[in-house]
Amino acid sequence: MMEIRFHINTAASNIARNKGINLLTIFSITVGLFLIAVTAITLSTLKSAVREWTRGFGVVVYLKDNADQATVKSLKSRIEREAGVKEARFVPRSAAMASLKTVLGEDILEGLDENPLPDSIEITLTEDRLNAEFVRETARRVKTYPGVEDVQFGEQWVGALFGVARHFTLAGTAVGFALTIGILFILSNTIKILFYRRTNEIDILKLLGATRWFIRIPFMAEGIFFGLSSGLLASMLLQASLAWMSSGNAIPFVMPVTPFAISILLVLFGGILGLAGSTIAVGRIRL
Amino acid sequence: MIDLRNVTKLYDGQQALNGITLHIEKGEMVFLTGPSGSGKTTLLRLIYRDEIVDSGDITVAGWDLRTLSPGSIPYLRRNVGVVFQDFKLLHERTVRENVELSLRIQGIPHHESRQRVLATLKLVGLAHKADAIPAKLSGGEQQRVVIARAVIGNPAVLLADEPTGNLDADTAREIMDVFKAVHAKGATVCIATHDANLYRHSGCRVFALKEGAIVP
Ligand SMILES: Nc1ncnc2c1ncn2[C@@H]1O[C@H](COP(=O)(O)OP(=O)(O)O)[C@@H](O)[C@H]1O
Ligand SMILES: [Mg+2]
Repeated sequence: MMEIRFHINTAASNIARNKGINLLTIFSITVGLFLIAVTAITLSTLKSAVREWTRGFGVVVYLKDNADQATVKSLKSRIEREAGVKEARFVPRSAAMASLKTVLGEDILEGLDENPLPDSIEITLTEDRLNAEFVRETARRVKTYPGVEDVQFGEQWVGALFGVARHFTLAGTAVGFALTIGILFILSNTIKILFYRRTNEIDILKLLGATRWFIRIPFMAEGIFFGLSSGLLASMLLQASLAWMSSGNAIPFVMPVTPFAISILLVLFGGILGLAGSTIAVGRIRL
Repeated sequence: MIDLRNVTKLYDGQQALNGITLHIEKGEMVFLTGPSGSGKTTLLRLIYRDEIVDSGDITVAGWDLRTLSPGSIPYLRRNVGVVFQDFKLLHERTVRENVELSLRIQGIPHHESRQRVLATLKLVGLAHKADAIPAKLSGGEQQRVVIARAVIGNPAVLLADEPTGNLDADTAREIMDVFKAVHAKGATVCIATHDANLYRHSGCRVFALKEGAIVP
């Protein structure tokens, strides 16, 4: 078995010997990881804002004037059986009028001697089904049920908001992906440079009977070290920025996971990228 | 232990070795001699598979070096200790670490190798310089570090390329005593040298090279 401590010592002395390039690498990866975290937080904030806004957009089913109680009752239970429907609430025309009066004020509606509003059923959808396509589909189906005059929902709004959110998600994912590729590139390049700086030593190790893995492992340890330390720095940077921003009453960020979990994930992700980047590097080097 | 049959090695179309046939028995000690440029180093490099023959057959410790897979080369080399003419020491590591490297490469842990390193450094008379770095040592002392590194793993085969080139006569004799001790423990030893004093009264076989061929 290979001795871990020996490899770690080798890696450590190499790290100490190449301070300039190492600091530059760690700095670049730190910035990359920090930006990935910022992108993730921005996306999750945006998504939750969209979800919050669209929560208000219920679907309202207006009933025909001549619909009798039995029809309304069966319609209500039929709607309740629809997928994605959390609640269906019957709103009699008198209640609709009353709420309109509280919104607009008694005076404006004083002239009306007859209530022009129809009876209606207000539908609340479960959150996970709140996307434009589904809402539109449900509305269209409900409109064909007996006793239904019309179905209304904030179609434009819901559609636009979700469209925007989808575009941002795509853009954010692309940014995250590009940053990840960039980090891998920097990592594997640095490892390659460190490797070529030591070709003389490596040639000697080979002549003494070192296997490929014996030579590779310290470089992979260095890659993991770069990743982990950059992850640690990035998470410190992130926590500091979050603390600084929440000290003023700026944007209420919605974290995809808890701040602590984000730190752990950053360090972990950094370590994985470090391993991946150095594996790419040592795999490409001819030994 | 070492078998060469009709071995040829070319460098840029020039014959460095030309139809070499020789057999070295297990546990034998032999000398390789000849003027500079006659092919001694090239012959040794073929044996530890640093170079590949252009034609002919070569077998070392049971390994057919023509068909040896790259993955097996490290394991061949662990059985062949080499005293390189140009030393090949790691300059950022201490004497102790340089010698220990042979064992580390074979996966022998530090706590097991410590004593062996000290004993081997004592054998070559360098125990007092264990923590120096090679650059601070004289040529002769560096030579002895290389010898210690080559013999510490108890290799079946020990190759030495001009091992006394940097030494005065007295030290050369001490170094030869080290080789004899390793040989006495059963290793097959092959020493390339143009110092006739080393083999004159040794009773060992001597292969004389000239322009890449063995002269009878
Ligand atoms: N790597 C090489 N590239 C080209 N020519 C070489 C190389 N190594 C050795 N030679 C040539 O092969 C011949 C034998 O060299 P070498 O084996 O070093 O001789 P010796 O060790 O007996 O002095 C010389 O002519 C030398 O120039
Ligand atoms: Mg030579």
